[in-house]
Amino acid sequence: MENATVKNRPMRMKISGPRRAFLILNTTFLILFALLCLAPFLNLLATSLSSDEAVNAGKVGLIPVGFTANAYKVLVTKIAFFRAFGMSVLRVVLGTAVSVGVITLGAYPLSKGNDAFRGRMFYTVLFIITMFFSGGLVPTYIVITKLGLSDNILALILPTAMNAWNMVLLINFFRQIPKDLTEAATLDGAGHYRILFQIVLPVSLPALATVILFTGVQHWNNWFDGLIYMSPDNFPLQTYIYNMINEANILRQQLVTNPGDAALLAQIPTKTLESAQIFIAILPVIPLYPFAQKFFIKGLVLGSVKE
Amino acid sequence: MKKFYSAMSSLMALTLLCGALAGCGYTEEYDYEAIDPGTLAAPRAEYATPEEDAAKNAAYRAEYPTLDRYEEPVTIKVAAIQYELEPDVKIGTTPYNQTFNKIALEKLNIKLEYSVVTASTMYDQKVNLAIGANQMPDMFYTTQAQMFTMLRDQNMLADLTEAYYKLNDNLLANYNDYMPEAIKACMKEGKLYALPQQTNRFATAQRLYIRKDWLEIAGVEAPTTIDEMIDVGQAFLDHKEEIAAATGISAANVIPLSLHKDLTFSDSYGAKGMFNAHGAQLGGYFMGEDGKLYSSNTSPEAQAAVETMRTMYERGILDREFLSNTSASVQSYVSAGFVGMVFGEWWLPKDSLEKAVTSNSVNGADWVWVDLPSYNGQERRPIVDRLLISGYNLVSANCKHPEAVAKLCNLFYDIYYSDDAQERYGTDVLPSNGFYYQFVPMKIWDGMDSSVEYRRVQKAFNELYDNGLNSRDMFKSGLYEDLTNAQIESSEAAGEKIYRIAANDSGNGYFCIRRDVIAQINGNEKLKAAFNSMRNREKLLHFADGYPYFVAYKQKIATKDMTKEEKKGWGIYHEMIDENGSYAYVVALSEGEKPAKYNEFYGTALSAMTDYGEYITTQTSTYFTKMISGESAMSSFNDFVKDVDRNGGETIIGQVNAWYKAVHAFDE
Amino acid sequence: MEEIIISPETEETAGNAETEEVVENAETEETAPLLEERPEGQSPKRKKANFKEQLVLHSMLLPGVVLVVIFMIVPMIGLVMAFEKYNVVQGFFGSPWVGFRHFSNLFNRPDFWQATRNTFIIAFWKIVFTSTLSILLALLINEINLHLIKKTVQTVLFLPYFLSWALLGNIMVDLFSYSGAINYFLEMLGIDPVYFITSNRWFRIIIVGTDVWKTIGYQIVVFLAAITNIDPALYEAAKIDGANHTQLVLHITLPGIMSMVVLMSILNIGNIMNAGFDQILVMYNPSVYETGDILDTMAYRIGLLQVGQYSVGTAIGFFKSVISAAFFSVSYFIAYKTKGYKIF
Repeated sequence: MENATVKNRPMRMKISGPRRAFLILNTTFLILFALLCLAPFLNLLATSLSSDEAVNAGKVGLIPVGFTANAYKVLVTKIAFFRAFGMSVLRVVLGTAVSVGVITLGAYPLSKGNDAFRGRMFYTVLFIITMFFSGGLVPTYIVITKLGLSDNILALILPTAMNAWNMVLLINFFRQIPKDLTEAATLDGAGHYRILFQIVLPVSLPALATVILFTGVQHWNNWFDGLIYMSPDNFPLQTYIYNMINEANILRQQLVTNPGDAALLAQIPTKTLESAQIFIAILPVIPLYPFAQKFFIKGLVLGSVKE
Repeated sequence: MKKFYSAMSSLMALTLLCGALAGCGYTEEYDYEAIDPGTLAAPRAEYATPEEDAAKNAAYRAEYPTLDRYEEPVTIKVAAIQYELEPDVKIGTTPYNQTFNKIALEKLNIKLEYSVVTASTMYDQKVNLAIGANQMPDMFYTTQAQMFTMLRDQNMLADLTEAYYKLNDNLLANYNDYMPEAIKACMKEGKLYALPQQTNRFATAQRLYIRKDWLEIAGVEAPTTIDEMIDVGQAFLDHKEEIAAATGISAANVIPLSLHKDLTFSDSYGAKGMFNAHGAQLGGYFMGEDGKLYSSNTSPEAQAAVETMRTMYERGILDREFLSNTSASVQSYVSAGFVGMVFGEWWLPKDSLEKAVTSNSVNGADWVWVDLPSYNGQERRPIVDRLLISGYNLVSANCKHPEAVAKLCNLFYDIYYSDDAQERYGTDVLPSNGFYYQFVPMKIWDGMDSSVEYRRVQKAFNELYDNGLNSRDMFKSGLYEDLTNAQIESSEAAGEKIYRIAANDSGNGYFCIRRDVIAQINGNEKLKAAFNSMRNREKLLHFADGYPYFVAYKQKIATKDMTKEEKKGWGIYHEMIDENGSYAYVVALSEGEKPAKYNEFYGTALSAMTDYGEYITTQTSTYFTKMISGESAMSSFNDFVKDVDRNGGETIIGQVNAWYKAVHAFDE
Repeated sequence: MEEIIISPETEETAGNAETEEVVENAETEETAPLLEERPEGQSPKRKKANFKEQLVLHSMLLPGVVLVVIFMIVPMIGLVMAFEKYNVVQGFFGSPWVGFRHFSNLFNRPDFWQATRNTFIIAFWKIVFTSTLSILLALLINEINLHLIKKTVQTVLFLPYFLSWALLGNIMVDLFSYSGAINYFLEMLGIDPVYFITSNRWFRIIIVGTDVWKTIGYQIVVFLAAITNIDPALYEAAKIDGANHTQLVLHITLPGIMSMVVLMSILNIGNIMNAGFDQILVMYNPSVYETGDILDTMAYRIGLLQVGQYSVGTAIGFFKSVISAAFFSVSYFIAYKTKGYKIF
């Protein structure tokens, strides 16, 4: 795909003056724009490497002031942080596997026509309803606790596993696979499962990669459900960080009602420690996504609507 | 496609139809059904404390033992907030594995099962959710009065009369002597539905903290009236260059007054002190001249406070960026030495004022504190709640052993508030072995302890000083020493008492109180007596941190000339040890030496508040903020009053008055 | 519209797929073709698929249906709370029925309409800006003729998409606070600092702006992919006809990515009531409720932060669901009727 772009771009045409000016302007603009997107992360890094006093005084921009790696030294001893990190990794791996499995299985029959698959309509309506309606937190909480899933990683994985929006993407991708491929296999006596796994899936890798990416990112980034269903020892990373930031305020309120708890003050994390943790939480996705992006492109294009 | 739409539309039509059915004619009444607290069933034996009558007490305790063990194991489902661990607690301690569970099982045969364990940010929501899902724990603690009322009115709570009588002497005395109203507020028709957490209502009293060094630079006195306060703020502004030059911060960072962004925020660093100074308290209700309660939000006093803040904001006295301040940001500005004045409770010195004093980048910071300035010639007084219940220990009606709550409270008290717990319960009571008071599911606080503590520590310090423990050289470098576990073990084997303060940085031992100092104290009977008059906790907190500063202060060393280790004691000293310390104010208020104004509404939110309160709070915050920042004119206060009255304000005030009448009907 | 009605009972017993099928089949046959109306012409009608084959297809949907029924359909029973004065003791089926009282109370609250309006406005501008800017930027990036720079720019723009609002919210609030980096920058340019986070004039702009910043990279990649996918022969042919660069973009590139644009738009319109709960929860504050409070945050504050107000929270959620379903249906319907696009 990339090659195709390179080729069809009018690179070898004689580049005219105005066009050259446009290219230079355009490239400069986009580079500046990209830098703008990076700035918050640089600020975060700089904050995490600065002294507390400089941070409190609001002196830190893109470059550390009063350079110190103290926050990271403290961070290394924070077992809770690394446990949360591990929890997130586990969640992403398990959650994506389950979700993609369920969606793939479901998308295949739904990619058939109404007459090839009786009941397609019923399932479609069922899934569409779930795209818009939900019972809300209390009933969902009841279901999850009654199933004994509270403080269990499955509570974060199962409820969102059947994601109708992602399934739509796969359905559309499957539909565009040339009929000849599957029909030939049917004639050979292959069943639907075999067709799905041996013929449809191998040509659908880009679409699968896309769905995997979506689901993985979703699992990595969700924090609210962790707050509700997990105990603090099993918080995923994002929940842990959200909690860390907000807990500082709660601790302060605590002091009003229990004035003797002055010792609590010692626990309030400093801004630099906060930044260090956030920065580390960002790191793992950085090497991952250019790789995913490669597949992503094909998957989405072919999964788009047909006319 | 068509089918899809007809399906959807018919589904919707059906829902709407169902909704219309039977729903008509339901209206909500906002009167107040008087709750008769009644009187508790009398105990089966007459109660007396050991001091009053030892024999009677023995008979009473035979009937109501405090710590008797169940014969069969009893399982209790509880909830806990999993706070971050304090530095002295064993790493890896959780509510599930804390030693309190073990002790409870051994001593009381109570097996604690944690059904809700969550972070502090989520505790209220999660308990709310669990209750909504009909999975309420057997015993839990909540700070939310509304939750208590709701559960009580839906008959979901157990009667705790029996449990109440089983509380130990100290806890019972606390309730009887200091807070009979709190117990009454938790009663209904002769039954007790909660063990309220004890709190000193005066601990929330606001004061004004001012930078002493700034006052000197600007050549002004600490203010006694609001007008003077504005003048002081203006003087700070006018002298910001001098202030900057003297303290080493930049002139742009000079903030005469800083506040929390949310005006309705009533905790630390909020605008509460400002409203209180004008005689207002957001969310409060005061007695009007017509004998009826009125809402303080819409009162002229609140308007006056808003106008004062508007003036201050306009002139730049009130931090121009206060609208983006959280408590944390005000705290960090104060710590960084940017803030000249701030309102707050007694514990501010150790919280953030101290940080400015000890900061390397601020020169010569020092603070004074004064009572709230007066407005319009009124008396200077803080506003406190008529009755303050900071939390409720609740027991589910489904719990088969409601009296277990008393046993657990007693057990906790026995461990936490006594110095010889280790002798009785073994080393499991040490934080370093996994005992963490924050994880204990019952929350009780010896509310009256702090005033006693304040006097006790003050006396002990002075006696130590007067009896020769007063060489500044000895304490210059602080009272901490870093001991490895091996060193501690060998010292303890030799019979020395080691005072562990916190785990050290490398994790292989503890910071302890210096052994040579302890040895010197033990070598002199008078010193020993003075030292041991302090509780264990006071030795670790007040003595270890505060004594070096105390010695230097006694010798009239200026704060800025003290060593780093000495400065560390600034906060604790000026809070709890100095006789003019910030806590002295709480003691003075508690003992009636200073006047306070009372918010007449207390207890649990009324139904109209539940339905409309959130809207009114939001509107209060929004309208006031706009008036202060100049976005709307002061005249919009009238629009605010109209808006609030129309949207539930009148309903609420009606119900509040019905409540007041009902509550005081039972008084007589 | 009038001929076929799937009764709500069908939905409620959804778990039993096998029996439903019979009802479904009957209907499908009468009214087919419905969803699968193939614009490219009728595909040869296959012989009635045999029962076993159908069973296999149903079995593939089983895991998905089980999950959906357990975790989504069953909890929907809880929607009755919206019409009750729900209390725990009496439960979903015993609490007093109040009909539309929660709704009429809500409709009388000014802040409810304010939240509804905010939801629309914020979501609408998010969609508009994300779509137009991402198309524009995709076109511009496509023009870069240095492969490495192109790749890097694309990659950097994609980065924020991978971060959660739990992290970003905090970063943004710091950045836009009065003493934050943005104001620091403005001050250097000689512009007076602005209260971005607490001003009702700015808050929506910040919310929309930061969200566009976060999600735009994703859409850019999508559109770049679509551009890549255009048949090179089309460009060649146009060039031979003497088309200049702008004409190529207008007449080939843009139409070439149109179907992608439509897909994105339809999916986006389904989100018209999702103005971004995560984001606003971490970024808002009481002084900007007027412009920043959305239905989700309102439902959260009332339903979960207040004790025992489960019913009102549910009512807000239900209201939101109905509106967004309606929007989605309408947009889908228009796209289908006018252009024949379909996604299910």
